[in-house]
Amino acid sequence: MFIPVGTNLKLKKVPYATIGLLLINWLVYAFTQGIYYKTEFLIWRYFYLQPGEAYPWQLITSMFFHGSFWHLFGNSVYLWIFGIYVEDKVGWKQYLFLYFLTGIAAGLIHSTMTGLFMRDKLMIPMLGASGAISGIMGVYLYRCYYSKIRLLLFFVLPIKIPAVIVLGFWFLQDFLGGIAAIKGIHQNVAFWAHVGGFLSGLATSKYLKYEGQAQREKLEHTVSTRLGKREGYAEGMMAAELLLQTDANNSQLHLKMAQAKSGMGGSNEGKEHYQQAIKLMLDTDREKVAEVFVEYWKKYLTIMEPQYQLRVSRLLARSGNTSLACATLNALINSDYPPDPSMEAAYLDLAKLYEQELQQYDLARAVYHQYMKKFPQTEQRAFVENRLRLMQGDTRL
Amino acid sequence: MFKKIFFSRYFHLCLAILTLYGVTWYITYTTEFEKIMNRFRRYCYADYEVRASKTSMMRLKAAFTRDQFAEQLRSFSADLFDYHNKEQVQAYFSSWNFFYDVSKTDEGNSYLLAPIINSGQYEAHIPETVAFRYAILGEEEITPFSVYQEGPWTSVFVSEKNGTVYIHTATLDSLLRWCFALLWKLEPRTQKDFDINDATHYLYLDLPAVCQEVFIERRFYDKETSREYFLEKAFQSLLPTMFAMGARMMADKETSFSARYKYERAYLTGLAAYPQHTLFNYLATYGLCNTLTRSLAVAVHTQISISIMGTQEINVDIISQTAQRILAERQDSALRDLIEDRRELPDFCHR
Repeated sequence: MFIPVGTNLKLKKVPYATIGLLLINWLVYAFTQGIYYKTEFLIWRYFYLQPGEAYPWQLITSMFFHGSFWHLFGNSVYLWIFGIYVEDKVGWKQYLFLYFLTGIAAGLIHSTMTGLFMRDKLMIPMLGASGAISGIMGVYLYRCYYSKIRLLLFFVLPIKIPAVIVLGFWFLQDFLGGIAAIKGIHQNVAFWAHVGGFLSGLATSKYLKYEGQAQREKLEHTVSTRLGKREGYAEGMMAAELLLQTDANNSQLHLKMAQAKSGMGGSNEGKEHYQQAIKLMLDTDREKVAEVFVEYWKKYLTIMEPQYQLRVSRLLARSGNTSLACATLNALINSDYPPDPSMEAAYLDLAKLYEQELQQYDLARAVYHQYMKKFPQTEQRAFVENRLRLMQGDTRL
Repeated sequence: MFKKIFFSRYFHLCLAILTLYGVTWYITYTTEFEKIMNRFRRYCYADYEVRASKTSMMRLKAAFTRDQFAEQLRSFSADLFDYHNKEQVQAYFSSWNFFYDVSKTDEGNSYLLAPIINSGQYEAHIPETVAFRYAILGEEEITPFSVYQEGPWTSVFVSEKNGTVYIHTATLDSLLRWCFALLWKLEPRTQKDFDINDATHYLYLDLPAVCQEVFIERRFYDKETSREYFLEKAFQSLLPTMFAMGARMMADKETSFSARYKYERAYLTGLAAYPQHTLFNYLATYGLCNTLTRSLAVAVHTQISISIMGTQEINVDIISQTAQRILAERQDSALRDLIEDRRELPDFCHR
C-alpha cells in the first residue's frame, strides 16, 4: 500500500559503507543467477542459515543471499533509506558493527523462536539481509526518532509521517506475522528475524547510550527547522535554549538565536547572542566573523567590548571593509570604556588606517594627537611623534 | 589495553551475542532421529522430484539433490539402517512408533511415513464379525507419490498391511479443516445455511449434532478450541465407517483380489454398514477423495436414484441395500475382471 522513499533528514557525508553493502548484495545476487546446479546446492546447504543444523558462519553468509530480485530490491530500498542516516550519525565503523551484530542477533532470534514454537521448520533455510536491515531500522528509530519518513501512499501520493509511527506500525505488522507463523499460518517470511533484528537494534542503541546524542540531534533538528520561522518559533527557541545549556560555546546556535531574536527588530537578547556568536567565532571561524559583524552592525550599530571589537575591526580591515573598520574603531575610541591596552591599540590602528589605507592625513594626525593626549605615558610615543613628523613633511611636499 | 577492551561496551555486546548463540544452540539442538527424519524426508521428496521431472535437465538436478541427501542420510544412519532396505527402515521407524512403507514400481518409488497416534484391537460386524488390530496414523511425514502430486484429498481412508488395519486421519482431516474454516467464517444459523457447497451439506447430514453444537450454538467462542473439538468429534463419529472398511479389508486379506478391488469392497461395506455417513460417498463421488472409488460411487449414486424412482423416498436403508447389492454383484468374477482390466492401478503404496 505504501513504500518509504526518504526522510526529512539531511545527509552530511557520503554513505560509503551502505553503498558497499548494497554493492556486495547485488554482486552476490548477480553471480548466483543461473549458477551451476551443483554449486547452487552447496550454497543452499552451507551458506543459508538452517536453524536446526547451523554452521556459525551461516549467520553472516546468509545475509548476503537473496531469493529473488524483488526480495533484494525491497531490502535495498529499506537499507538505503534508513542505513545512510544511521551511517551518517554513528560513522561507518560503528554502522558496520551494528549491521553485523543485529544481523547475527536476528538470525539467532529467528532460530530460537523456530526451535521453541515451530520445530517442524527447523530445517527450512533462511536467507536475506532483512534481519540486519531491521536492526538498522531499530537503531534509526532510537537515534532519529524525531524525524519524519516520506512515503508514497498507493505508490503515487507523497506523504510525511513521523518515524515513530511508521516504524512502530512496521514492527507491529512483523510481530503479528510472527504470531501467525507460530499459529501455523504459513508465510514465506522470517518475521521473527525482523522482530529480533529490530529489538536488538533498539537494545544495542540503548546500551551504547545513543539517547544523549539523539536528544541533542532532536533539539538541533528542531532549531534548524523551526527557528526563524513563524510557525513553531517558540518550540525552536526553547530547543535552542536547551541546547545552549549543554553547549554554551556553540557559535552557530548563538548566531541562529541572534538572527531569530532580531528578526522582528532589535532586542537586547538578540544583540547579546550576536556578540556571543562573534566572540566565539573569533577563535573558531574567523572567515565568517566579518560577515556576521556586518549583519550585527546593520541591526544594532553598536560596538563590542574593546578587546573583541579591536580584533573584529582588524579582520574587517583585512577583508577590505576599511570604512566599517574605521567607523567601529572611531566608535570604540569615543566610547565610555576605560582606557586599556586594547583601546590604546585601537587608536593606533585607526590612525594607521587613515594614514596608510585612506591617506586622510588630517584625520590620522587628529587621532595621533588624541592618542597622545589620552595615553601620555605610552611606550609608542617615539613612534607616534615620528609618524606625525613624517606626515607634516608629506603635507609640506 | 586489556582493561580497555574488557570494559568496552562493544566487547560486552559481543559477549551478549555469544550468550545468545549458546542459548540458540541449546534450543535448536536436533536429535539424531530428527536429523535422520529430515534427511529421509528430503531424500524421498527429491526422489519424487526425479520421478515428476519433465525435462532431462530437471531430472539431472533433482537426481543430484537426491544423491546429496542420500549421502547425508547414509552418514547419519550408517550404524542404524540401510535406507535401501525396506525391512531395516521399517524396523527403525517402528521403534519410534512410526509406520513406514514403500511401494516400488517401474515408474518409481512411493513412500509413506506417518506417526502411529493410537492402536488397539477392534471387532466389527459387516455383517460377519471380523476382529483385527488397527493403528491410527497421524499427519504424514512423507506422503505417497499420488498425494504429493495431486494433493491431500487423493489419499485413502483405510489400508491394510501385515494383518493390521491403518486408519489415515490426514485424509479426512484436511477436508474437515477446510469445512470448519468456511463454516466458522459464515456463521450458519440453521440447517439451510449449511448448503454452501456439497461438502458442508453432507457434513451436516452426517454430523448434525456436532454441527449444531459447534457452528449454530457456538459452544466455544474460541476458534482454536472449537476447531479441535470439532475435529475430534467428527473423527470419532466417522471412525466406525472406517473400521467397517478396515474389517472388510481384513476379511479379504487372504483373497487374491487386487488392491483396487479390495478397496472398492471396503468402501461399499462402509456405506452398507453406515449409510448415514454420506460424506464418504460425497468424497468419493465428487473427486475430493482418491480417483479409485469415484466411478464406483457414481454407480452407487445412480443405482440409488433408480431405486427411489416412484414414490419411495431416499433413506439409509435404501443406501445400505444398494451398497450391499452392488457388493454382491461385483463378486461375480466376470464383472470383477472387467473392472480390473478397465482401470489402471494407481500408485497406492500403503496397500
